[in-house]
Amino acid sequence: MQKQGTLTFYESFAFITLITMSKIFYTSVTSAMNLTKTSTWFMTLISCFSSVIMFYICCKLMERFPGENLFGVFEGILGKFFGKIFGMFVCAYAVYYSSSNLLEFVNMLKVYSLPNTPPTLIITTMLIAALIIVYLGLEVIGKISSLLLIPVILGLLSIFLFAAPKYNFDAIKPYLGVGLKKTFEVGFLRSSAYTEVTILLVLINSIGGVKQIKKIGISSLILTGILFSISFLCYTFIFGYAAGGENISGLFELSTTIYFNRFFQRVDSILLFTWIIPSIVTTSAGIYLCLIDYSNVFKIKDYKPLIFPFLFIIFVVTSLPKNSSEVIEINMKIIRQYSFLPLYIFPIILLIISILFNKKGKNYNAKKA
Amino acid sequence: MRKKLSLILVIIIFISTNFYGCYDSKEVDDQVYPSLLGIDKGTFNKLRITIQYPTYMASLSQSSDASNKSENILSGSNIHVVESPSIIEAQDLFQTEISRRVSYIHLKGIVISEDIAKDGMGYLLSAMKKYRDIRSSASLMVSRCTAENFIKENISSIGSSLPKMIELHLSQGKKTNYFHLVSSIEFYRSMLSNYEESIATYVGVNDMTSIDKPSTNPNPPLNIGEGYVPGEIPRNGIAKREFAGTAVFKGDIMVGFLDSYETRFYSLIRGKYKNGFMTIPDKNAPDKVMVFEVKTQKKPKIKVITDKDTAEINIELTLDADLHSIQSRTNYESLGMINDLNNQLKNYLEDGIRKTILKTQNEFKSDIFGFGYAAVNNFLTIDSWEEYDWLSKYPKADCNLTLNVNTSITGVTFKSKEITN
Repeated sequence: MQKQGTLTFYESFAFITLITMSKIFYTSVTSAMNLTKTSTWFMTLISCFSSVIMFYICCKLMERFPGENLFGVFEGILGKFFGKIFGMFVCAYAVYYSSSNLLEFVNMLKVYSLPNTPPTLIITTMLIAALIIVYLGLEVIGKISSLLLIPVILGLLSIFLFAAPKYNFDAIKPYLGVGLKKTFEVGFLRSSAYTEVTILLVLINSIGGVKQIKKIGISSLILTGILFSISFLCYTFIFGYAAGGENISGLFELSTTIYFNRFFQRVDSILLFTWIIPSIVTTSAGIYLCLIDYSNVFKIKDYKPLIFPFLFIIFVVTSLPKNSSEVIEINMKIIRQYSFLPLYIFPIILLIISILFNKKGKNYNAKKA
Repeated sequence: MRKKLSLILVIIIFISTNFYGCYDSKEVDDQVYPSLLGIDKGTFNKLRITIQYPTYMASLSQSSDASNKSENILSGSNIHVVESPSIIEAQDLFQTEISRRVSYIHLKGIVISEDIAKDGMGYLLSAMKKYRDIRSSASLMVSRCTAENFIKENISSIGSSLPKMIELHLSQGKKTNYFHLVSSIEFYRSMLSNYEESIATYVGVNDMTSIDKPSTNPNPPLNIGEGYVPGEIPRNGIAKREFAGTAVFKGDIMVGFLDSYETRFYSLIRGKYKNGFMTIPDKNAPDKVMVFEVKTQKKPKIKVITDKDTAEINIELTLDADLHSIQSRTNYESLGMINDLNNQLKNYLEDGIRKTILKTQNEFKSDIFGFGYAAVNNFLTIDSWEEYDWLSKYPKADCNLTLNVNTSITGVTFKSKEITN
């Protein structure tokens, strides 16, 4: 089994928060605004709440298999063959997730900041950074996250604060937006925006068991939910629901409206900083997840020789979409609206199966005793 | 060891971002950054685009060879005009003459001619909104004359920095409330909104000839509360361009304008008014005036009732005033007369505000006050709000105004004595 290193509570918390919140800088804000308009700010809280519940249930599954990570649980319940198939599916999803996120980042960067730079150059440099991070392992990912979480959150909050003089607080009316029924429906679907927390189920043995990941996951989900909700509120205050549904990057557009006076304006660079860091960590996390997953499925002891082949695969997958519309309307829709099906619902189904067929881990009874 | 590696890693990440500069690097000295962009109807093509950019040189007005230079070159700026099918391609067309790359990223203002505004300027705004180089914080102005003329008369008379001059000039609107600073994103948002309609700063060129006409009237009239529109302010000075009033839109089409005084009343209702001097007639002394500095004391309270056949708008304004001058020397400061003073100011403001609202209802049929943001309180969902269609209801809405005015400061003198002849 691959040795993964260990993460402290804060490192894991920072890691999960950073990779979950990275999408706030991209098309996520606008897509959500188009779906739920003025109720977007509480729709995301519904998503967050749904995620907390589903993650809690997933943790219940893990409790039945002490000492096993998610892939071990799959094999324990479904048997080796189907367990490996599901493991491969997760690996493929992680490749898709990493390349889609990377591509979205590249598209945003090209739209706003680097129009003439070839996308391959940006992708390559991002992958080089990810390569170093992944090579150094989980502990380095955790340390980078813990180092950068607070500056990223402060950068984000300062953008919201500087834009405050232009806020129109009436723009969130009517308060129920598209109606409670639709808001709840979309809120449940958009719980996919928080599925990054399930990476804890894979890293469970590096973090300290179910109790620890439960605490980390839930607290990280709550913080991200609050940050998302604040972001949606501030965005609505500036653009309203009509104009708010048009921007490629809602938060970047928000940052360009900041104008305090002659001496204090054009602070978009703060956002660029807070934007790049989570993107690098998210890409690295995706790559790390597929490496760990692949190593687990095929019982490979050291994942490091796999880094280059996987980076190459990710590089190839990033070249598949023909244009940015494809990335936004297909890739991101799948990740942010439907990824809860394999990542939350499937483990819940497994929990039901394990209860019905009384399947437990080898150490379950020993731990209970 | 791990700490060192992490540090190296962070450094590598930062350095790697600099590689991108190989392709997107822009030497500041290779570019020109227009401060103003003017858009008119073209003759040979759809649009006539005018740009004004600083030359980054000290003003030449005091140099020995100043005699042959145009006023703009003297004030440290260049102006170029080109006809183009689009604003963005004009950047390339300017390159046929200008030796440096024209970049819109530092635009302070966009001036659109009234001709275009009256036909609808949504297509221009949509194009500008999509283009990364034009910032959403750039101010939007509608010019009574051609945008080209306005920009040609935009001379910096104090200091040599054109961008500074433009920004400072636009910010004066916050102090006088004779015009409003409207950013392009504010306009764009209102244009798409179903809560309010959009406005733009109204600008123009004053040929300064009206003030030179010799007066034939031995007793010039006392014009109080007469608002001005750009180009018609009786004044003389250095720069002919001027800002006064507000261009009013319905959707993306300009339907009229508010003069400088109506703009103040608009600001009062909108809650954007801070303070400003107002001269009102003294009802007890014809031909004499009183001067107040009117300040907003509380945010306006606006309630809209929508469950009747016609909507009802209730506005409550609470203002504070400092009395600065009483030409008649009447003792309005005394306890017995202070209410009379307040009432005179109140009646004057009430009349102006009512007329301004009626103008937007009857003439423009455009809710530029954003009463929709109060009307929406009566609706819980967007479907019901959109079905109600506030903007179509606004012209027929009844409007009730409650004005609370209190003169709290009465100037530096008290109990004025009569002048002895």
